[in-house]
Amino acid sequence: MRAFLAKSSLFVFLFLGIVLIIFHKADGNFDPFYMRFTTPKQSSLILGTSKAAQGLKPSVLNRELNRNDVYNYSFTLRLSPYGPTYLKSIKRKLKESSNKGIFILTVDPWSIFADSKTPNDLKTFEEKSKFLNFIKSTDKKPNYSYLINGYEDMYIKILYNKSLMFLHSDGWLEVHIDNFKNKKNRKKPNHRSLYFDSLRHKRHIDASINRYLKKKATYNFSEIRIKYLKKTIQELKLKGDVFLVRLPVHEDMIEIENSIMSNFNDEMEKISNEFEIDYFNLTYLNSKCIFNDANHLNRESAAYVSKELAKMINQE
Amino acid sequence: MLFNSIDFAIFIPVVFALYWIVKSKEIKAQNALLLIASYTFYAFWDWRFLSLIVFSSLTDYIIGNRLSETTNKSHRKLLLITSISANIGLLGFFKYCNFFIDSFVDVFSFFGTDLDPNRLNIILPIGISFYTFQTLSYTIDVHNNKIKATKDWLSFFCFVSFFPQLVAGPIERAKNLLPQFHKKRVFDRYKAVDGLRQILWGLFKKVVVADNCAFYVNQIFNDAESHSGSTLFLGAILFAFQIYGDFSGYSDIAIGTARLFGFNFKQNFAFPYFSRDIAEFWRRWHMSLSTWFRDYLYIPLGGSRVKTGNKIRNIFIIFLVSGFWHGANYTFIIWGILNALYFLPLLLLNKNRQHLEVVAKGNLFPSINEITAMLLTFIATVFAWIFFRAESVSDAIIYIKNIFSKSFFTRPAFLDEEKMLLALGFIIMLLILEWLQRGTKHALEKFALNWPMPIRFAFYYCIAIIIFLFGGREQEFIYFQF
Repeated sequence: MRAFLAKSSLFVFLFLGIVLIIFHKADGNFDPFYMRFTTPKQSSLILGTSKAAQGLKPSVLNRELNRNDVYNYSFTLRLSPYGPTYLKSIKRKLKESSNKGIFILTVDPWSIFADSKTPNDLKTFEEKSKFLNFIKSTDKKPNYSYLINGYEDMYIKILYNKSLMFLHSDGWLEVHIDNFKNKKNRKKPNHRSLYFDSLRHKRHIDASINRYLKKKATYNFSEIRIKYLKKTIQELKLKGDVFLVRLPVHEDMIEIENSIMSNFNDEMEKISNEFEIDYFNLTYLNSKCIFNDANHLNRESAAYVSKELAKMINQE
Repeated sequence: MLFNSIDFAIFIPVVFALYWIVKSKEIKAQNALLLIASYTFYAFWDWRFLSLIVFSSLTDYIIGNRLSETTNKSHRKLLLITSISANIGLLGFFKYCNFFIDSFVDVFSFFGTDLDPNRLNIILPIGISFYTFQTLSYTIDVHNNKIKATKDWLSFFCFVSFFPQLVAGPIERAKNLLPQFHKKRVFDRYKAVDGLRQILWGLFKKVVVADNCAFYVNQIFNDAESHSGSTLFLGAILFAFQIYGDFSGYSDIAIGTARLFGFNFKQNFAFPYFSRDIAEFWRRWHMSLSTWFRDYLYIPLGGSRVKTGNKIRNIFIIFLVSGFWHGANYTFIIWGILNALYFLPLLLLNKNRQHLEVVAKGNLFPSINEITAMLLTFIATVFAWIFFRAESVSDAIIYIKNIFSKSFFTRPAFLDEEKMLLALGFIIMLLILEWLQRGTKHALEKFALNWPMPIRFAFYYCIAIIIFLFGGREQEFIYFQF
């Protein structure tokens, strides 16, 4: 018995040692969310879906706004549309003592819609069953809770991952796609990178448009999401200045968004008046931006849009 | 609680320590601990359904004892019928109630009468098909005087609910398992180490092979209409390995866990995809269920020692019931019928017992004939699995129809994806190791035993690290739904 216990314990402890070493190596290459649960609690946040995760660079905003605390805590449409789950997670990421932060809440029709026939039934919200709902610690490194319960893919990706995405320590999700329009300025990538020629770029945009056309059939406007957007604003106003921002998207996507909610800007104006906060509709920059697909700004345009947004915030 | 979960990884050492260190001297205390552990294990899923296990255990314990007290034939028969009715009634209500309601509605609507009955909102209690069959076999054996009824209620309750095999088998017989609860268990290091090896291999099959196959199987089966024939064929093959890895992996973990506690379960899988005909396949696949049906259904019906017509009837009954046991869906019934059709020619030509030995015994490679026979058997099995996996019969028909289209000759989708290549690589690894060890009880029983200890340990570490690094997304075991 003793020999068995000794040998099996040795085996198990050595194995656990290897597991811990591998977990310690997890970084921004590993997956597009993990690092956001490993950084300290924050006082200023960029919030929204993947549009904001890729489209707003905290480094640019910090530089232009003369701050050092802006952090991107945006996820994806499936994980972080406005609702109880996202609000709960935002509160977990916020520093308790702070009250001089800035909060950039990016909005678009999708973020207040629900993929459900009963969009006002909280039970049907997809994000409820996802990790954002149950990962309580958002500032531990390694974050075992996320690694064990939240992460849903193979751990080999900690050691080897060919993904084009890299999550920076400030929460910005960089996607390594070089676009045909900026071929001359193409930087030598420090990471894996994909090059889009004009044909491939168009195919990519068309594919994402088709995806959203399909979504259009199943997504419905949700009063509850609007209620939670307001609740989020209310909570964050206690911690600093809040801004509502609509980010640029591809022209074809604007058409879809207008077709599902033509009065979206009016609704946002109403909310901004109600809470006395600013609403910046940046879709006028659409034609000046380059997108990886119909929805996501590429990295150069993300820097440009972040700078433009910072200018607007500074003017207020 | 899943075998491939952190909860189980904590649960097992705690129960093991209490069992061997704290309570090693008293059988009763050990049994009580196992009963508490088993009920805790089950309660992790849903504690409310523990009452069903207690009910089933209590019913058969009392009936078993009553059977031992009476020699009156009609009284004994009545007791047996009570046990069968209670167990099958329980199973029927929870598993088949809505199926029968829907079938009645379908029949009435066929004749032009539309009914709108209230379907019952029933949750299928996990493991009910397994433990009801296990307790039932006890009562039948007592009735047939094959075993004596036990007076030790604690051992009997442990026999019904022993956690390694409670939710997905193997379906153990009282004759094999119950006496093990009566005897003092002595810690056997070699048995425990072998148990750990079997658990390791079971985890590899489940977490690495089955769960990675599941990633593609779900995509392909859920959207069969938009995939090419070749992709659908690939999906069906992947499902064959998914269900094998999933279920035989579960059995390996169950058997290995039982060995840690000093118990021996019967082998449940014996490398079935190396079978040369469907009769051999059924002797090697889910053996505890196949032998259950053989002993309690096929043989009482007369088995193969009856006229040809009755032989055919018996085969169809056994496979139909087997299909129906898996689930309340016509897909399982057709799966059963298909297997009966595969089996029948062998039985009628008296060739159903021609492959009793392991294939290519004593040789490293099989002959061309053996390869052909194994491939044909595998393809026939894969074809039947399509019905097993499909959500409905019409889905299965669409799936098969789309396989047999021109697009069968195109390159399957997903083949350029790393994850698919990994899944295929792990299937090959599984096949190679299992082929080399096809004469043993599990792939790691004897493999690498003669290697020097550091190399042997390095090999086990490799498997453990592969399980950790390449494990697919945690999925429930398929057989939990049965």
